[in-house]
Amino acid sequence: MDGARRELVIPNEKGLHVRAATALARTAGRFAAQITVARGEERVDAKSIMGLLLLTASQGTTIVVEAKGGDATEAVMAIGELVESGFYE
Amino acid sequence: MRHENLGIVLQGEGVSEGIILGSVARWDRHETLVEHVRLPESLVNAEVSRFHDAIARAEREIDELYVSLTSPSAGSPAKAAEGEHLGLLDAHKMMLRDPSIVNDTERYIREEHLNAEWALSMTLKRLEGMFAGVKDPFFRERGQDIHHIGERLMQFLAQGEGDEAPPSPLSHLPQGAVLFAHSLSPAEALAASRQSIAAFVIEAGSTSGHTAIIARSLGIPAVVGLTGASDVVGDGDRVIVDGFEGEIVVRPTEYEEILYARRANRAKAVRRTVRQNRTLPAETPDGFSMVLRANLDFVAQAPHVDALGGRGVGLYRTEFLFLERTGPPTEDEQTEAYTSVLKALAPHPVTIRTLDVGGDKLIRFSGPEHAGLRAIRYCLANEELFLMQLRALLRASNHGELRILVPFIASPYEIREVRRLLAVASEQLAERGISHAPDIPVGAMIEVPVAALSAQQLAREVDFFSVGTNDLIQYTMAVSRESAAPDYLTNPLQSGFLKLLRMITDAGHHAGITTAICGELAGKPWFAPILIALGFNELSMTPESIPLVKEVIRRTPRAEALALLQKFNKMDAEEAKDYLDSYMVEHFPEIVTPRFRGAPHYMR
Repeated sequence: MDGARRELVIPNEKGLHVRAATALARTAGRFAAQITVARGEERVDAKSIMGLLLLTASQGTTIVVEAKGGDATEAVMAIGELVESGFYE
Repeated sequence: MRHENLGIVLQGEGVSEGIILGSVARWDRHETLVEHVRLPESLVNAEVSRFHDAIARAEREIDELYVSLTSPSAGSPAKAAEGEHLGLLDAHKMMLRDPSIVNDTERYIREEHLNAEWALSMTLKRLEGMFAGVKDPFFRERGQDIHHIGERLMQFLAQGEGDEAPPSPLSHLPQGAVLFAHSLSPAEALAASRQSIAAFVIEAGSTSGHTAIIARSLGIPAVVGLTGASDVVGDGDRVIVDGFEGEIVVRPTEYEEILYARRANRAKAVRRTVRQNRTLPAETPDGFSMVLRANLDFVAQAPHVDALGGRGVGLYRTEFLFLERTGPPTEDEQTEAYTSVLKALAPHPVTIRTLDVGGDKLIRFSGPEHAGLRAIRYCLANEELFLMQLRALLRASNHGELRILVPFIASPYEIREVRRLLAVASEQLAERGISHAPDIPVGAMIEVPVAALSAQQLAREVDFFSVGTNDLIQYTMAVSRESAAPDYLTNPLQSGFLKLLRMITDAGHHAGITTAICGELAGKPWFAPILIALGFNELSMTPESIPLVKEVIRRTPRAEALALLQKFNKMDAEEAKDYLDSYMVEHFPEIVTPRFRGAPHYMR
């Protein structure tokens, strides 16, 4: 499979703030796949902290992670795990 | 003294202790004038690498700052709680390579042939504009970070080729000044740390973490969160900065100066007294001996333990090895880390806590099936990972006095499992021809209420107890770590909580094992009489707390502490707290009140 997609809800109290965005961008950076995170119409590069912060995704926000490329499935899985754990906070 | 003659008092948040009277030096970030040049095609590639060179140098500067903040030469090194602020440095470092900065700037250079400064300023303006438009102030504030890193990149670009860092941005400040600034970037805070700044007053609150760390490491007062402070001061104005209370007094009266001088002297007296007890034992006047140890996060902190009068380590956390990475650390890597801390503290014991992840601790490589499990529960569910840590611990045991502490113990079963796995790890090492120290003490961290209630049974299985008071009180009172609980819910003098502590020490004494405490309460001077009365053998705390706690122990006869605890039986928790407060004020005025409570500031 060449693409992967997953819908996630931001579970942690502080939302997708600096630390969480850093963790997400770093996780995304491990993969070669092109990964985006979208909130509604807004879509940003998952490897960009700035972009992730600009989503202003607070607790309870639904985001959609999509990836294309060789390791897309693994990338979406890793990000899903990170988000669902509440960024291990 | 007439009120209208009083200085202007502003209230902020004290983030580094100390009181100082000095003169104001205001500092505003001066925008570098951005040069706009259109480049010939032939220079485009060189311009792109000049941009990347600036990024690399800015990265190195952040690394250097990180090292200087976590190394022992910084005075008092960063504490565990400061990890979050150090995390901001990490974020800044990643932002330097953020695609939204790098790609856009590169595109401006390559496609429109702009020079790097021009290209970067276009990129930054666009990003800052996007942040400025964000409704949620919590996220909008992060525009500050872009401004900080952008500014520094500009300075590195202006510096051009060569390895020298740009001149320190604050080098023109008068020595010994009280620095007033809206905010300081990590690089600026680093520069300030190299000047002899007397105190920091920072208007921004939440983005000032790194300034607070630096101030603490230098031992100079700092107050943050004083919006508008720069507006009411002029350069050279006299100002009092009280880092205990988070208060500043601009242009104080003579009377205020005298009063603050007294407060400052008192604070100094504390430091002086405690320096004198460094080599003395933590023993009450009637001969009850305790051992004071340190909670450590970094090996770099090791020299502080002895310097502050502590003996060995009562809690060494191992999570840092596992966090923020995609796979577990290797056995060799762990062995090296454990060995270095054991060697650094030898011949004193080092209590190393096995992996405590889950809950609020980040770990990247756990499977989703273990998401809800914390600490020993997680380790027993991930036997291979745990065995690797145990092997590393056993291997390190050859190099010092190792004690193993297992967190989050709820049942004797868990301890038996740990012992079984330790035997397995030992056999695995034997097959490889590796030996280890014999009879390594294994202790249970008591932080789950049921463990305190089962202390008698647990005491038969372990070599020592160590109480994690933060979690124990949290789980006992059913308050959550995330939300702020009202004071009465975190009052450790609740009779039920004291009963739990008593069960632990009673069971420990009965079984003849050491009972230690490594939670926050161990480092609170005002709680020390209670710990003396309960008969704890060892207290482990942040190294900085050791001198004050030792001073209280050395001046509190156990008989008196026992009488005090006895009195609390007839009081409710709030009365007990008031009573203990006044006891401490009476006996340790210089320790528990470096500030004057209650009175209006001009009366203090």
